[in-house]
Amino acid sequence: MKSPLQSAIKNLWLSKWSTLMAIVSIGVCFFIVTAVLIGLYNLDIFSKKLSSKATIVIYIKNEIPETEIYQFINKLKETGFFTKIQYISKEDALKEMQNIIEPSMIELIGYNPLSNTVEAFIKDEKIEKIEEITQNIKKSDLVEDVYYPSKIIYALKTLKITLWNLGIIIFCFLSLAILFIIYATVKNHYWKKTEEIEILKLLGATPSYIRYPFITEGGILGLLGSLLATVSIVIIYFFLHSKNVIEFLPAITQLVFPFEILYILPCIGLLLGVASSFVALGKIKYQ
Amino acid sequence: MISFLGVYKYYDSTPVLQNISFKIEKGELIFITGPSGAGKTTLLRLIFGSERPDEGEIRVGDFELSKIRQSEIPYLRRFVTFVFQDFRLRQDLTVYENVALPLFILGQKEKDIKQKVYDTLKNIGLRHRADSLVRTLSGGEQQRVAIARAVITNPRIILADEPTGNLDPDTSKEVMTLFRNVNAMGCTVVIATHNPELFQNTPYRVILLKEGKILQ
Repeated sequence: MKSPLQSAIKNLWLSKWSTLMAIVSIGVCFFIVTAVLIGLYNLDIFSKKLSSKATIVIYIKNEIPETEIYQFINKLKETGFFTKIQYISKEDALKEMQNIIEPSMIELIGYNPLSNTVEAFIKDEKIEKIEEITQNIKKSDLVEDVYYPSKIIYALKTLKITLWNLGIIIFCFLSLAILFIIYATVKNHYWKKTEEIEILKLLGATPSYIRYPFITEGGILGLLGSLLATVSIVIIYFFLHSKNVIEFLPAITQLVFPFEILYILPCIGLLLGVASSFVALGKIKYQ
Repeated sequence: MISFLGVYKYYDSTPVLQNISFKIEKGELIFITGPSGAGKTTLLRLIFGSERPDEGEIRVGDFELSKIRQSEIPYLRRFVTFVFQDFRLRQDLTVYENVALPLFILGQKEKDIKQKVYDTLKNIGLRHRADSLVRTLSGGEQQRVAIARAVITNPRIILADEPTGNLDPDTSKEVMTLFRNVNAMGCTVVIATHNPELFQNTPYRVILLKEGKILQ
């Protein structure tokens, strides 16, 4: 007589082609889901890197003395919105400008046309509030004008939201597909064993005794499918990081691979397998 | 051990059993007889928890079958076992595996199971066929395997529905001897049959059913 694990393996082996098809289909779904999630993860990192460069440039009115400007900077620091705040006096700005533009051109103007400025580097988590922060800064009497890269921030925000929503849709759709494949496979095996199960019920088998082999079967399908996807992803990762590919696509080295998926993915596969087979079996009735 | 009190059972508003009341004492061997369609099988199915009465009360041991929950039925079926006319054996398993199945369900140890199964097979004269596939056995042998499977867990009650229906007269006698032996060990045995030869000239009680009613 066989244990639930042995029975499950025997059942899967008896219909090996449908089992193989199910595992490959589950593997493909997991592969796509994981690839999308890795893509989104990298996009998130990329957008964070970009947004950390988002700076608010504050132009200070000419007549404001430096002591007041420093008081203003301290107030900005207290808000906790910024990673770094630096003051650039109009004289320093002019010196920097002379490195870019021909000094004789500046001499033609006859005076320093630049303003004292404060550059505030906004914190990553506050990037969504950049517009609100800018409006508040504008309200200050010291401030002549404020500039921030609104179009870039907006484009980045839109891209991020769109891709995340798309990712969530793909994730939900393919997770449902995985659940359905396991559900259909286990249900099919259950129907094939109807007579056997009826005999077990007549002999006093409890619902859990009847369910165990099928739930194990679902777990095995989910686990093997997810392992197939994990192995494929690892192989692709090493392929992409091989010398030849890096020479051809140097940006590949910037790709971050979350190694946690090596154990998270099989766990999810196992859980999905167990859950969908449990649903497939439904309530075991005796009357 | 078993009591029926004013039991009614309908299939699509057609009465199959009407006002059935009787008691079966512990350790009794009893026959339920009557023509086809009299309600014998339905009566056994009610005792086994496969059907629920529409009216009345049925008690089997401590189980109140008119109120029994689905989750209690497996435990009822360890208390009451059933021998079917068509045996209901796993044709893909050996004699040993079929007889051992209820013990595996109970979660007993492999070593204990082996001992019990071989002892039981010896008692029914099938020790030498232990490793044979059930499908290679004759009808009489299969019925003996079914009886062995029913008695292996030492149930309090054994129900048998036309246990000799598919057997020749000599094999039927052998099977009835097995039931008498099981009963002699203290097990209550309820046999549904339409064959009067099984209970004529025997000391056992007989319930006669006709059109769902007890005549005698």
